[in-house]
Amino acid sequence: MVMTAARPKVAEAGAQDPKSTPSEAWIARLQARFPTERTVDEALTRKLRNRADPPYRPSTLAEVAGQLRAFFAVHAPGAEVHAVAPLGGGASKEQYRFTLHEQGSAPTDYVLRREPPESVVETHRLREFEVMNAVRGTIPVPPARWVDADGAWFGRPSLINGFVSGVTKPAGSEGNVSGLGTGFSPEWQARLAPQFVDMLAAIHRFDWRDAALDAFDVPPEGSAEGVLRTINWWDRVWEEDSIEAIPIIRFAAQWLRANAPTIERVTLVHHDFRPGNFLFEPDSGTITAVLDWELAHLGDYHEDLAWSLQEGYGYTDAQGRFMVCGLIEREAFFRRYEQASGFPVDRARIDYYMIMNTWKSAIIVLATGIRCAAGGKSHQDILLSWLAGFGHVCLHNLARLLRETLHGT
Amino acid sequence: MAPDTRLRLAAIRKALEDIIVPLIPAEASFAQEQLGLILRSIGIVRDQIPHEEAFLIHDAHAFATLGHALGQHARPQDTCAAPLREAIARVEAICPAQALRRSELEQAVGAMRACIEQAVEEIGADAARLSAIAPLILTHTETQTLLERRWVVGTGFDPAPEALPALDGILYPASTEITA
Repeated sequence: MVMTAARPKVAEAGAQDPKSTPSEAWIARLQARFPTERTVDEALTRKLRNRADPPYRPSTLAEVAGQLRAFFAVHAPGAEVHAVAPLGGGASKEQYRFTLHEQGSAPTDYVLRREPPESVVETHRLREFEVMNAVRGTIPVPPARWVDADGAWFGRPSLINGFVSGVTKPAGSEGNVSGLGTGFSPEWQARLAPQFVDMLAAIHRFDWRDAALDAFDVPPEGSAEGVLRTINWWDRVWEEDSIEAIPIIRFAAQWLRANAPTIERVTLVHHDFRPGNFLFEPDSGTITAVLDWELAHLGDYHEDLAWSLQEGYGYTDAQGRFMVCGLIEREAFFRRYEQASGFPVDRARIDYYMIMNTWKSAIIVLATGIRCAAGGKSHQDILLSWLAGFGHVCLHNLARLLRETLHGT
Repeated sequence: MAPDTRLRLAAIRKALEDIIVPLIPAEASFAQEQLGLILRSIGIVRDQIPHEEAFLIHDAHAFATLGHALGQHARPQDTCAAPLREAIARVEAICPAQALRRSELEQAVGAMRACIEQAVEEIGADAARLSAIAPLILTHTETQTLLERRWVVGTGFDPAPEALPALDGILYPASTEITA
């Protein structure tokens, strides 16, 4: 059972804000209070140790090209790097597209994903690298070829994967930033929804037990330990990053701990499966890649289902029907998923994870996102400030979900 | 209110400096000059925002003092006399003696919020008391998020923007509009 240590009772009078200048003692207290996965702890701890470092400074393309050439001089001797260019999208990581011409091979396009000094989600590149390689062949993912897990080559931890063509939304469709509220016409819904649901089912059916996922801790089945570890992860993020206290965040954390369900079947959880995080061919409508695996972990598949169900990722159509991720009605989503996965959908668990995910979403945009922007730590500070608007909708939804669960109304 | 207006302006300035400025050709002198003025204006506004209310209150008292003094020289039949008295009376009726220093207010509110969060955590560790405080927390959140959602409604994330009350109605519920 994962427990949490008590919060220190007395603030250190006269001490500097520990969130801005974290001491090793403060970090150690957080680690003791919020035990979580090894590599999650590594990523969060690295963030804190770098917190007092200078703000983000954009690299010139010449600097990025130089780093790539130095890297490939060792990892692909004789290869040539061309056409380095920034790639749009990605609220979390810097992305650069480039062409690599390896000896004896045709020129191939790749993407360098590099961490800014701080991200809207702080994650471990090794986890992302491992999981992308593990699911390749089962799920369409960009081929992850190289990882610089400690930033030795690119200044900050980075990953290089193959470039995959495709779009995240149909031409002319509406939507907010980062894939939120993306609109799909009925024609696009008919083409994409079955693939979308089947792909989620395939992620959950993936046999992770034989995969090389050394960076991941495995939660025990028949226990709530993995759920409590996930709560610790995000409770710790709130403790590290929040700018202003919000009572319902603490209340929800307590409620989640008190009501944590067991994990009956451990599956791979993508954790951000929604519009904006998959690519499709604009002509055929075929999904070409599932992206953004940085939050993936081993847990309960209901957590993933409930993530896709969040209101911010879908919309209510003219007939008053809520379209999950803008693609499919809720009950049809469940039916298709159960058929494709063979796993039952437990509505009580869905309700629980809806609360957990709404809580996590609020933490991501209202704590880490604003903390990044306040420190000038990312390449997307203005987007992160913008996303705070989504955070307050999350808090509103969190209150509603808790009220419905507590009072059955 | 996080991110507050100063933080938003800082993010705007950073996006301009990091992303937009490098794309403006050196020979586009008019655009370069405009961007320079935009960046400097953002800096000025950032510095001014915390003090705007204090500036207005300072103005009110400074001009009321001058009005008083001028009024000593006005004759009853002067057409300026009555409006002057009324303007001074209106300022004295609505204007606090001194503005709150924004940084002090922010610290006090921040400390209040932090204490509440700690109280929720401590009280909520007990299941029975967690249930007992649930209505308080949920009702507070539902009310507070009306303000927060209205504050950032321009981001377009709110699913029901038309249902949100006006900012004036939330922030100044007891005030009476003073008409000229």
